[in-house]
Amino acid sequence: MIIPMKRLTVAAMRADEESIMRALQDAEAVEIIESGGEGADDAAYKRAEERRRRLSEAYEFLKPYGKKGGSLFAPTPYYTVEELQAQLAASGPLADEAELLEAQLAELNAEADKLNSTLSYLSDWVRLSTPIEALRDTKNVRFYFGYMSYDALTKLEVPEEACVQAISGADVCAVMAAAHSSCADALYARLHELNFADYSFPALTGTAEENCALLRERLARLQERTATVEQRLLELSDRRDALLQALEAASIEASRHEHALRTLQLDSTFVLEGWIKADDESRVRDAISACTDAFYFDVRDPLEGETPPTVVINPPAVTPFESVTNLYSTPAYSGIDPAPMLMPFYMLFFGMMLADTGYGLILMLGCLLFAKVKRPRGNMAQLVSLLTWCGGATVLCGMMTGSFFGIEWTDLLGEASPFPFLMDPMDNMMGMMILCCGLGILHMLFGIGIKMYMCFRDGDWKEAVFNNFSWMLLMLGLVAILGSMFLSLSWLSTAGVIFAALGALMLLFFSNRKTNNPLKRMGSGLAQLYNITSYIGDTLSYVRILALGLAGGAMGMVFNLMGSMVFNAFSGLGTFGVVLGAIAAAPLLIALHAFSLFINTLGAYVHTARLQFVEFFGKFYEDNGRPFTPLRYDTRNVGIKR
Amino acid sequence: MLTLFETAIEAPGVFADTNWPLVLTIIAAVIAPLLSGIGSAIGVGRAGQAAAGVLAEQPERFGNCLVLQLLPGSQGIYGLAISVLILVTNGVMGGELPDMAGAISLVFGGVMMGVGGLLSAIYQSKVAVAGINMLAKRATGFGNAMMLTLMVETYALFAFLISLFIVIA
Repeated sequence: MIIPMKRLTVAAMRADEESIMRALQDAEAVEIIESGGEGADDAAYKRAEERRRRLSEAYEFLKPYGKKGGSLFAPTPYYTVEELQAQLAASGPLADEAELLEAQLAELNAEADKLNSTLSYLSDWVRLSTPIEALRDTKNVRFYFGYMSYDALTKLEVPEEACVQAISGADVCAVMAAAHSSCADALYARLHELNFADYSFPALTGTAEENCALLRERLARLQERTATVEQRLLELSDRRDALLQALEAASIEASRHEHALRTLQLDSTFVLEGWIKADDESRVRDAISACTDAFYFDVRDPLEGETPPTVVINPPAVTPFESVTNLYSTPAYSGIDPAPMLMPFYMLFFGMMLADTGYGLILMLGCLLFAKVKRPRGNMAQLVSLLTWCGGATVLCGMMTGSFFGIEWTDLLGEASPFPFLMDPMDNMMGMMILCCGLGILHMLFGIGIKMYMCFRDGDWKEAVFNNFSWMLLMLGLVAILGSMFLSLSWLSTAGVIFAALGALMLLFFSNRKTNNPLKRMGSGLAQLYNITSYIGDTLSYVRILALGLAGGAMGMVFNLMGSMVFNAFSGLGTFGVVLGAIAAAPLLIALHAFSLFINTLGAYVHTARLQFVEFFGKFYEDNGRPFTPLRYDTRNVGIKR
Repeated sequence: MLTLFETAIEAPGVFADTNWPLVLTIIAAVIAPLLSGIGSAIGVGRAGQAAAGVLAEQPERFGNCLVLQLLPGSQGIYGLAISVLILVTNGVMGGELPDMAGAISLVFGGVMMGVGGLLSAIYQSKVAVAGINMLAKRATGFGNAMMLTLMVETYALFAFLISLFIVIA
């Protein structure tokens, strides 16, 4: 349910601000709102944010080194805030060193890249035995060095006063050309026509070969230095966890300073405004009075026109279903929390869509195990617990209408099998379809009922009766008329007609109460009545429960068929064949059913959510709420132990 | 169509001995997974390309992108399920061969699933691609992107259901 909120105003001395903010962060109960703190001094926030950024970069840099820690199933670690802050205080040198090493490594890599590229060109010229510094134009001879393709080289006609020599290379050759100055320009021009690319030697002394050796030596030394740095990084990476904890502590600090920016700073006092849960009042007051005696504390109910944030509190069993609501939107503060209402239908529809006792068992036990081992937090925890409940529902629905790992109950337990209790959808598709639509109508009527409750709560009984109860009558009447056709009960048909007519008349004449002109009323009433098409569409939409159930069942059947084919492939080999078949079929079956479970769970999850959002929420839900974001320990990778 | 086949059956020569119901059943079993598989392959392929683009910048979104990429893949599975049901219940891998009218209705059932799956998978992938691109810009949009993509799936499910009615009947 949505719990009432109160508006909080606190004023205290600026000297106490830091300790009060710490106490409020520890209480995790106050959402601080902007109170016109324009031009607030944000130096502290910038410092904290800078520290957080540096730690985050150091952590990201160290992450790839060292052994892969933190498997998917490693439990979330829990620390006290003091432990985290101790790590933050001790983390400075570590972050500095990581930063230094990062810079060193980048420098070393850049230098190695440079040397490598020089080396790769120079090594093309090692057959030149002349020292590089001597390869210069003389008075009468000019030298050209560069690269050209072998084909172009063969096409080149060399004048008598020149010499062109390929030094190395096959398709693309390193070429040296020497020419008497009388024909040098012509030769150079001709070379360029043939796509000759000039190469100029780096400023070095000695032969190319000597220099290549030197470069290789320097590279080897660079590699040694890189290895030293990486070794050090490897050592540092053992302390990644400490760095992560320091990072979390820095995030906590930064988020507190960010919230502090919203307060109003006066000469010697500060004013803090925010929202708290109504029953948190004394807790917040105690937290502040533990810091100082000199403060002003005021709490009042929200005024007309103010929109408090929405906090939803439910019993533990219902909590996971809040994630379904949040997937759509946070409920409005003045609206209603649909989580307890959608819980039974969500479980029922999910179970009917997956409809396999075997899959349900795996899903339920798997989620229980995962929650036990990994101890997930936040959204993940909600999802896991949602799937646990839905897995349980699937076990039951599998017994009602489904199968066991894609095997029909009657094949598994013989004709005397007590399952499926209700019906086998493969044999009785029509019955199953009617069941789905019937449950759908129930779901929608429930939604209308909630809307009626909301109208009565707000004192608008006319809206409740004429715009909502009328639809209930109309739908029930139509269902009764349809039912009477199947059951051939004349009284049911009469009752249906009366109900439907009553509902339709109420809609026709009273759904628009703004005008007294009967013609205008009838006009908008007719428009209202036209909505019957959307109700029919919504009802048919529930057929997807049947379709998904059948698709899942058919998939499991197909996979079992494939498994049995593999198993029977060795049937000619006697006992040995049975063993061999089992060995071959078992991993295949496990993999296929795992895939089927994943796909069908995904399908059931999203399609059930759709039925809630479109068909159910459409009848009553008020969205556009603002989630409650109090100042709190907002950690990402660790939990806070208290 | 019927008359064409009747003529073919009555005509002397190679067609005289052809087991037409069997041929039609096989055609029905091929056409459903073929067309819907093509649609799913196109859909999953397109969504996968978009996902790879987002992952280049934001590798931590892998889980969300994978789910969105998978959504247009269900049509292929529906096609597969229809195909196997046709094969198992209609005399190819079990059951009895249908008569001529039954075989032709099977073909229509296969076409229903095939075309429904083909088109819905392609259009669903367009929404999935848009949703994946949205994820790159807004971290909290996963639920919305998933729901929008899902809306297209409804029509593949309806095609599957009707196709199933025809096959089982």
